[in-house]
Amino acid sequence: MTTHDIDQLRQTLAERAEEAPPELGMLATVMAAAPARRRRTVFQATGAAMAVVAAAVTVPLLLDGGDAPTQQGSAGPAPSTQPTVPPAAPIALPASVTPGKPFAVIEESVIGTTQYLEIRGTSVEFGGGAVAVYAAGSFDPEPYKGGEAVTVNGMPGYFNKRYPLPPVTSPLSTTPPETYFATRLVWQTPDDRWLVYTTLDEQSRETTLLGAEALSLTDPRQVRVPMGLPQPADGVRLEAVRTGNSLVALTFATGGLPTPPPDAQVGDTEDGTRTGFVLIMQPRPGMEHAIPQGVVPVRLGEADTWYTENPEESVVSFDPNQSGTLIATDKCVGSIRVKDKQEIPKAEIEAFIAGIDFGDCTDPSTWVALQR
Amino acid sequence: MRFEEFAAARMSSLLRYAFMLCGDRELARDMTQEVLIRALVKWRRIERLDRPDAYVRTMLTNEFLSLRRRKAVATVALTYDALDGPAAPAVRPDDAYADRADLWQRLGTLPRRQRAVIVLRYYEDLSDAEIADVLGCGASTVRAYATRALATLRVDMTKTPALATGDGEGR
Repeated sequence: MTTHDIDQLRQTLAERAEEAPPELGMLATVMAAAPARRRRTVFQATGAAMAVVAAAVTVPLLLDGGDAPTQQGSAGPAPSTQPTVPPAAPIALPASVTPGKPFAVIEESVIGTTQYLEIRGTSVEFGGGAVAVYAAGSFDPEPYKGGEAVTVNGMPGYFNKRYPLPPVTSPLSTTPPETYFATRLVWQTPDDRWLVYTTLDEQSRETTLLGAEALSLTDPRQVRVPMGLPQPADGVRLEAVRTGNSLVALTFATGGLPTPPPDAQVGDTEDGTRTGFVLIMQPRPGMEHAIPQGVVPVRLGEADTWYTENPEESVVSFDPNQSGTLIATDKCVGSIRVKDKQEIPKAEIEAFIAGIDFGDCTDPSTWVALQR
Repeated sequence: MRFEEFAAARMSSLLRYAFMLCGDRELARDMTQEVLIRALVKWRRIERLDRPDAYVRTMLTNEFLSLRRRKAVATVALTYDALDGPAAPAVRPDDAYADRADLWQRLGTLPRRQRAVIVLRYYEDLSDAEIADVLGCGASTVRAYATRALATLRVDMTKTPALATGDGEGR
């Protein structure tokens, strides 16, 4: 058997790097495509920091004064004028994975009655993947019945080594859309729920089944968040939740959310929002660079805030119908992105923020159960 | 630094890194474009970082690692047939080249995270701790990936590099 040494490996990589594609025309393509992307992505999950930057840029033009920042976290309970949400059924996470092996949960979300998990393998055999848990009556297994009939922990299911996914069209690609395939295992629980497990890397039937068997439906777990929430505006309801990666994203909407597409994932939680607003919070440590300096915030309850609705002045210019508010406490930083500032004006968002009972984003053990 | 300046300085190396990761020119171009668009969208934040280039490289790595989840791109299992494509270099009928062709082919068969570790370690010259930061895992996990990948590549860590003789090849 031929063996190689490290220098041969290095030389191979250096040699092949010369076959990389040319950059011809790419910068122009990037510059042309970015404006539309800005409108789509501003204030989304990874955009909490962007929101901060946007606020830092725009707020000086929007705020002509205000009190100097007060010592955060020392103001006591928020002077909320809003009633808190009455006790209701908590948003529950029905699925779980065996702790430690072979997966760890990276993120999980709930959209309506469907739960999504992104999992990562804790050993090299299990690359991880995506899991969706559908409530009884909300899943159509027919497309999967062409696969091999299997059992997962005694439950009936179907293994599809190469399940075709909807073609993905990229405005950047000059090639026709291709059909992509995923290794996917679906199975039915005794109470008629369905689990869909899509592997991150190509996996053998055996490895896929082993991974699936680690996924289990547990007693419903409450979603825990680092703040208590007031009642939002009339008709606005909490419809979707995403947690993980030290981040919490709550989607409030009017009239519910559209049914997620069949291949929805954890990160799609907020994408379907056409109304209402998205609240994202994450730990402040590590985000200090993004806090506006020299820009006077507006104190609302326990938080310093910076409101903006001027897309022209924002580095991440967004839909002119939207507004954005940066929120910072001593332990948390985040944002609220309003889809339509006519529907939910600044005063309503300010009242909502003032009513939030912020906790410690850095310490999940202190988080409280989320109420719908 | 303006984004245009960053892109002008780094685009070529990002394209090479993307190509090392995926082994496909078209996909490397798509990945790099996608990441640069996202970087431009939040450039004012990125440019404040100590290492904007490292941040964008991590974005590119994540783009590569998430491709299958989003699009289920088939593993880029490079074959000798593929190497005969228009981008392939002229064949040099010597043993050293055959060895490197074998390595490249095997690299294309690695699971994605293992492949990323190999490229980051031996092309980007990152330490295991730095690779762990890029991949969001522990250094011990990086070493486990590397060990598994090197076994697949049939790279013998104890083998004395021929290049030590100063024959001018490699690094």
